[in-house]
Amino acid sequence: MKTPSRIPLIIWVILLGLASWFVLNMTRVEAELSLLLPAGNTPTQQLLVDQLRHGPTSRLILIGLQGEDLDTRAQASRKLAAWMRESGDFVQVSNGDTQWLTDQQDFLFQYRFLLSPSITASGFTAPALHKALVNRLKDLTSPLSPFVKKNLSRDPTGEFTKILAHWSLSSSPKTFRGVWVSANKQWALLAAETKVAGFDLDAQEDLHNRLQVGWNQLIESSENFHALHMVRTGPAIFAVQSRQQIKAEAQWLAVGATTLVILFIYFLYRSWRVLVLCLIPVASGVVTGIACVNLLFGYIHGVTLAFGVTLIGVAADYPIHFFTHVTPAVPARTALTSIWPIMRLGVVTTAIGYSALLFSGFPGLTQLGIFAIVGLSTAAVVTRWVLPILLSVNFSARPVLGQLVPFIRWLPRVKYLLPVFVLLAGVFLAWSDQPFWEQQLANLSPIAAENRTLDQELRLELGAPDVRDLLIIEASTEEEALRQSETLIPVFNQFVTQGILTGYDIVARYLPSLKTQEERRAALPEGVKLKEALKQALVGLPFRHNIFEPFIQTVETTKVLDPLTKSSFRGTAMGVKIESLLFMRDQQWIALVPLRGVKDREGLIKGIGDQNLEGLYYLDLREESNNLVKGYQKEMVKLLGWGGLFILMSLFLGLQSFARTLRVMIPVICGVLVVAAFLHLIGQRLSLFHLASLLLVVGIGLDYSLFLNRRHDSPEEHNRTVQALIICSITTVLVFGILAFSEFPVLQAIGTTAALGSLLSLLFAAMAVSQDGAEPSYSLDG
Amino acid sequence: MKLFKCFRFVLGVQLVLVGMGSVLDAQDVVRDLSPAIQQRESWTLEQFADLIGKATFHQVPYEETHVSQILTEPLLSKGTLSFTRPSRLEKHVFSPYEERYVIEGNSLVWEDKVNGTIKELSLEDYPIFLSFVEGFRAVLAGDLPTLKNWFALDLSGSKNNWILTLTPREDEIRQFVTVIRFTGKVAKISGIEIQETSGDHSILTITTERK
Repeated sequence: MKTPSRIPLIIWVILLGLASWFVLNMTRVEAELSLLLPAGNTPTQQLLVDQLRHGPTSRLILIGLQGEDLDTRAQASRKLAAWMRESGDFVQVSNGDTQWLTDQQDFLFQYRFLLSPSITASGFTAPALHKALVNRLKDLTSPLSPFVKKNLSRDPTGEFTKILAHWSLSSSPKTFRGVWVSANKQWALLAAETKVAGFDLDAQEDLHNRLQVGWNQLIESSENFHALHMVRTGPAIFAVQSRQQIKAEAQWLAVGATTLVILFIYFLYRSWRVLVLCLIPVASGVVTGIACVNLLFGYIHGVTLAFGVTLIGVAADYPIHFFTHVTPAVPARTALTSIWPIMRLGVVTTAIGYSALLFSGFPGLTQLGIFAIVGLSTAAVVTRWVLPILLSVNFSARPVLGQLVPFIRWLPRVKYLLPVFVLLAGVFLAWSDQPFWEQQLANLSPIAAENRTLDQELRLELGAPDVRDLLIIEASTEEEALRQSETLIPVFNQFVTQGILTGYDIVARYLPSLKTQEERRAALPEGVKLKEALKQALVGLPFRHNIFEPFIQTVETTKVLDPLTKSSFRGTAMGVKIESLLFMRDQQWIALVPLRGVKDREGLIKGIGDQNLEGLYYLDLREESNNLVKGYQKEMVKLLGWGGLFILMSLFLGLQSFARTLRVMIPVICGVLVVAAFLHLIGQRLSLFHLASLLLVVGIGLDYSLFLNRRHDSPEEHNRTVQALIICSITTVLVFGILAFSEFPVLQAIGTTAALGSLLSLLFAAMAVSQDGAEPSYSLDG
Repeated sequence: MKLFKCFRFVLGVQLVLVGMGSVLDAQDVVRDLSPAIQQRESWTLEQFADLIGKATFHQVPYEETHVSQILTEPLLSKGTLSFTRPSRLEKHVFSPYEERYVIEGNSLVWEDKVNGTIKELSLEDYPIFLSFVEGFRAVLAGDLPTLKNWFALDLSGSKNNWILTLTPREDEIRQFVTVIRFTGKVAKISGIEIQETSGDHSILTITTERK
């Protein structure tokens, strides 16, 4: 016998070495779920994805302290906030204390005549001033007296108080001892914005660990604090948690699945050599796949990795087919020559199927497509050219699981069951009124529902925008955006009165447009006039006349003050707030108006429409993100349709008979249909990940169907094919069955679909096979 | 200027005083005391607290004189003060303008009868203020430790003619008020004087005639 050339082995060793080095040194695994999202088709969708990733809400951490009594919680809240501010990790830490207001008081006080919403020319006439002064006199007999006295001469009209009252409209939580508490007072509440971006998960994880350490030190610092408990929610927290969870989950799943398959194959063949030979193509496929995706994208997503590895695990089928056909009578090379054409056709058609993923627009799925195509092809090539070199001349694997073969070979007798199943599935799918598609992006999140509920509660208590209803004002300049939002203030006040919503936040509340500031400035009277009006206003009141000099002076100086702009607030807490409500994006100024407690969305949309304002959009974030998913689902179904068509075409080219193509495809289509119906039956809604898994089922089904329908030279050989398929199917069910137990919805979806699909593919393919020797079976030339 | 803190603090002190005023009308509880205590010459804080803690309160009329640098003449005001256990304090101003301030639990309702406006605010929003109201309630309950927490206390004179001087402990508070002086006879308070840091001061006197 001719010794096979060693050249493929050498090439393989070199390539695998390079790929392994690359994977070990250059691979970056990302786990952020939003990376799986497409960039969006419409500007609003782009803004949405952008906000999800970069917006201030993505950097928000909500903290709740529980346990002990109200006083202790308040004390801990103050200590924690102080520690957090000190740490320098946060742009802003709010727990209810108004220190920032105190810090910026002089600045705000100086600008009070430009900031106060009630400045009009008539406010400076003698009668109006008299009324204001009477109110000040009343204040002197009140418990407030020394407070008013402090500012009485500088601000007799009380503008500063009006500004504070106006600002406090953006609802803040209840406070106790100056710190925020929940309505039921069971929680002390804090909100913080991190300096690092929400999607920078490494930095976020570090920060959360530091925060935890700080908190631990804090509760150690005093006996009183021992029973306190801190919970944190927010997009970044969730992202870090889901990454950890995905990592942990993917790890145990990978270890579990691998162990199971190894044990299964070992106990089946009782041979270490077979086991190692089985794993070689899979391992080569995985390494090359990871390396390729990394080369093209610069990173590989955790979900792609987890899914991809299990997916390429089915490449263990190739060596199993190979070994099963090697007997003392049939040497390796002969066996390989006889099955290779079928295997090749299977790999090519499956790769064509996966190529649909390349155009999905979802980076995660595109990666998966590349991973699968590269990995499976590599595994097949390694099986074809490398494994034979590694086999010793007298290699043969012991025949196994022969007892199941008669069952599979009996199945064609009940082929009438196939249409029955399909009919049942079809009728069920047609009649069910359950939603078929998963449209809530959130349901795919690995974060437990209770944590999401907690997040909702904290948001509600903190008056943080509930990340659902948002109004967007688009304008070409900062001034234009401010003016637009000013015109909306009365409209929204009206909405609040009508009960359409409970509250809103808007940038114009804190920063008036230049135009408004100019108008207010113009309303300020001349010094002489003001003195005269004041003189008249003071008639009959016991105030000393000369004490109001500072008031007259401030009115004078306000006339020459530079007007306030966004940059006047830079570096302050108010600045952060303004920055989050008004920012520039793609040469456009965008003012966000987060809405709270929207009860009547139709009324709201109508009310906004009535304004006839250009560049004003209402965004229901939940609706919009679901639209995004829906859009891509449609796209995916279309792509899968094309994928299916291409598979059919390549099969037809390979088999060169329409009848054979049909025979191969029918059980595959039936399998997909019944799996979909079954998933629907157990209450799963189909997501993109189900679709990707169905693609895997198509690939597996094609393989089974192709092998079962090939022409066998002897019944013995036919038995061997069936044997190989049984082993393949069991391995696949084992691997994906484990995945089905994952708590992470995405992995669970993949697991259930693929495990069930593999089993049904085998049964259906076996049912559909023509009875012994009958046409149209085929053989392909190597 | 720390306006916010001033506001909270002063509001607090003033309300404490509002409440204190009503103590003036505490029923004479001397007869409840043991003869031994009555005969003793010394007049201690503990005895004072004990007396006040056992007293009951009615609505009493008051007159207040506010002397300030910003006014050309002292501002006189009249009204009534009352306290209902456990937590309701009321200052009802009749002249020069009618206004009513009611603290109940942790809320302050402020009614301006001239403008017809009613405002409500939560004392919980103003920590120092709340502490003062609670501190004051502690006085009426005879809870010396709470009161001592906020003020240095000095009691002089005799039981029949005593002066209780409160000096704020907190710097924030001292920015506004130097001293608060209560005068009284046994369980009756007859006057409250506030000396402000600015030099202004006010004197509140419980008038004898009943409504």
